[in-house]
Amino acid sequence: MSRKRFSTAAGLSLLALVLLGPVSGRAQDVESGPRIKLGLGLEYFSRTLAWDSGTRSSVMTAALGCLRLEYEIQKGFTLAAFLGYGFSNFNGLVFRGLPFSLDYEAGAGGGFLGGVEAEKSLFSAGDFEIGIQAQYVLSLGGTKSLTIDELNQAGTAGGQATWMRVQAGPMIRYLGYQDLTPYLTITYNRLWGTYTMNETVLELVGTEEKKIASAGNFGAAFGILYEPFPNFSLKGEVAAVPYSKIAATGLGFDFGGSLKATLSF
Amino acid sequence: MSNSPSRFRRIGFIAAAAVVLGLAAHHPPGRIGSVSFVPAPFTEPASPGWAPGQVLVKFKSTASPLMKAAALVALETQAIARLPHLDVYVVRIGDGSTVEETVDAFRRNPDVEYAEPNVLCHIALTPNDTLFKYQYALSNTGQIINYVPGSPQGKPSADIKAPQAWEETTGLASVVIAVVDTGVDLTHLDLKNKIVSSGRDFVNGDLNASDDHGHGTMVAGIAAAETDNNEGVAGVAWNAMILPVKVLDASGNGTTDNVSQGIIWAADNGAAVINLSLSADAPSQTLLDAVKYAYNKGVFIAAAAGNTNTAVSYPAAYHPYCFAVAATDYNDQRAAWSNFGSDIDVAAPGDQIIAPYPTALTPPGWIPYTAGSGTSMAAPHVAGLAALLKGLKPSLTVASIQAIIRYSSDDVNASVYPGKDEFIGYGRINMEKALVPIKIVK
Repeated sequence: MSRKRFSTAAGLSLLALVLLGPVSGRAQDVESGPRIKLGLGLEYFSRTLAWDSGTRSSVMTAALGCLRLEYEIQKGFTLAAFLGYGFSNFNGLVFRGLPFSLDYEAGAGGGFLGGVEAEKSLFSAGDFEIGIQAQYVLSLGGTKSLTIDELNQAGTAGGQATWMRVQAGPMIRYLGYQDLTPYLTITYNRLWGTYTMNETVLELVGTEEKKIASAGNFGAAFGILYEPFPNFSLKGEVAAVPYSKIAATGLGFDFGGSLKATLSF
Repeated sequence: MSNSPSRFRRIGFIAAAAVVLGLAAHHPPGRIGSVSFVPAPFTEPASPGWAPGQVLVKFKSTASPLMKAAALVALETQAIARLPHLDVYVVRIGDGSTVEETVDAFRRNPDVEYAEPNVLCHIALTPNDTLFKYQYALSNTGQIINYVPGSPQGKPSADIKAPQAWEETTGLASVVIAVVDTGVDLTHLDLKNKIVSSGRDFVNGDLNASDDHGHGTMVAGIAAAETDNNEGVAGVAWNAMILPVKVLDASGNGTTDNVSQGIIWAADNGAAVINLSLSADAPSQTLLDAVKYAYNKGVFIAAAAGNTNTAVSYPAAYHPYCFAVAATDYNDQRAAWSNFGSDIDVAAPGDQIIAPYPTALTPPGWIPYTAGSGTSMAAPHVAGLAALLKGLKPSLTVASIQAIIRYSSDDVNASVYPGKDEFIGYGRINMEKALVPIKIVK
């Protein structure tokens, strides 16, 4: 799916999320007024990336930390925004469009990130509740300065990554426990972006902008929401994204995990 | 700040580990945490040749998928591939861990049958050409450099790192190297499939650039002999094609007008690279204009510096249009006869180089190959490298190809003349550095 088509689809999903009113069920049984929540979020994930027109792959890892501001419009319907900082590691990317080809193995680079999130309950059946959730993350990496030592002339390189991720899909929660709410989500989960590498070796100057995209675009996550106190919640989640291997047959899996702590007012 | 990703990662792993290990608690009692043996620690070999950041792990058949997952998570590793018939996992190690540490850790896990580094293997890009073992210029293992009894041995690694570079590219048939010389043996077993046409003969005024001397055939073979064909020698640019242009006669002599015409004809007839293993007795504006014409058409010209231990000869001295190549030997020493001067760009092996020789000129009972010395033999190594670069990165300008070859050269006389010098320029060419992606780790 092209980026434009996907953006349209994601936008429609969010719109549908907002416009769909409460249908029925427990989430709407106990109405409450809007609430503001503040929280911290931590996430680590790995994603297998395809690049060079899908002919090559490498594994990206990212560790993200952010401050979250959530606005619970009504019980079961929350909008959130977050800002933070993260480290993304693109080891294994190879830039053959530069005068001297470069194999990036320099580890993680830092960058700011931000995003929005929405979650809405739709209906419930017994102890189960069906909802929908969506998230968009944008990471703007800073330039990572590198040195090229192998030549008889000193060279430098600078790498900068910008990536986005969209996750959206239905979720099912089990409400049968007092403080614990386990849930399962199936998501469209796409990550894409660019890694721009500059190279300078005396008069040799080159720039390569490499488009990257996740090899797998659908995943599943299992999480637990823990609410020990009325104004405090803790959410832990593990996720897996299968992908079709690029240079081999069969399926591979990318994994990730996140923790969110939220205090409401 | 450098520890931050690791901290985030560990926190991120908590959730994953909790779930996986929690489920793993259903495993039969006594299995988790039990250590049935402690194998000898993995020790690093003298020169580790394994894939960075990867290990191979085979779990015991009794290990459940959950136990495998737990083992991977516990070491902050990730399975990135599985060899289905062997049930061996290719595992990416955690940041901050070494291959040795990870192998040791897996070996201590009672659910692991074995763990080992993902040792590097090299496909057969060491060509099967029968004389390749003597081609020290391409790969110097310290071997005897000629099949003639009593030949000297080379110094290991005094070579242009061709096999390593061939892992990245062996060139394209669309890239044509024009050999502007005495012609080329069009029927030679190691060349006939590499010749794009019968070329042009400016000496005899026809379209058959056959070689009646031998020099051009040798040059053509060094640059782009048919390779991996169980015959003769390997060329630097396996897949590049050869355009024969005859401008020198059977005695190896010619005139500026023919040489100039040959250069221009080659540039107009598809050559991406021209090899000029020839020297003029004096500067010539016509020759200068010819190389300038080719350069401006985007043709890389490798030119022999000359063999008289004097100033760089023409046309090699026509900077920047020609790329002047000096000669080194099998010990990475400058050849004593190699010309010198500030115009020298680089050096390449040029001493006792084995190359194809015209079959018709070969005495009965001999194979059509011979060994030759001179910057004439050095220049086609550079021409071959330029052809590989042109095929790999078609958008590079001639100036960029020149710079890449210069800056990737090994300064093999740095102990005496550090940096660029008048004898070998920036150094002896290094195909690996010029072509293979350079690992940047900081």
